Amino acid sequence: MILSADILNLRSPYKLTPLGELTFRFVTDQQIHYTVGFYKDTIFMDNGAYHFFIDNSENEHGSYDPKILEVVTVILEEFFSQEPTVMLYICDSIDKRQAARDRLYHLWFYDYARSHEMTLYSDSVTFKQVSYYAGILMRHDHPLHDMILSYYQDFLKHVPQLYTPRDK
Amino acid sequence: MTAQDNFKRYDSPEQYAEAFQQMIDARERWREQVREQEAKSAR
Repeated sequence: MILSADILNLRSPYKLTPLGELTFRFVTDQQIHYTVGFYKDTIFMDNGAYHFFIDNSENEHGSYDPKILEVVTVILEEFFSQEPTVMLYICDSIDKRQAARDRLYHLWFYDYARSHEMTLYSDSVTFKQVSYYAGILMRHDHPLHDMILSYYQDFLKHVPQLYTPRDK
Repeated sequence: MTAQDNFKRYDSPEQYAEAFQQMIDARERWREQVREQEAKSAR
């Protein structure tokens, strides 16, 4: 998997500067700094899955900026245009806004993505008494589509077992 | 190697829980690394 800043910047409304192999930074019109990108998964699959993240290191919140979603769209379209890949995400629970973040993925999926070509599945997972949202995104034509979805659903289903409150 | 071999196998609730904890920890480690890289590049 290679993501080229030169190629991404042909379409990105904000200039993406490479920070690492699959990581970029950009600054919005409101001077908010973001990092965005992927890191390889080694916990769900051996090969072919990456975790997506977008981070605002100073935790600043400006007014709604549609260009941020456009940047994400450009990056994800390039990501999914290459070899068959799987994108995983876990929504932060630090500030209790994990459900809102998960809704953003769904909003993006239906408003920006080619949702007729893609599968998005997410679920809430209560783990150690904290609620997380975890999701998976891949193209319909991924050669292992059904198997990956089934394994992922199974994975999420098993995670909370240990921490389900027991009957008193 | 079969397609199934590409998936990590977890056999017990403890192993699933440990795997999910690793996912959360990996995310935090990655966030810290990226913030360090960003701080360096801003200098």
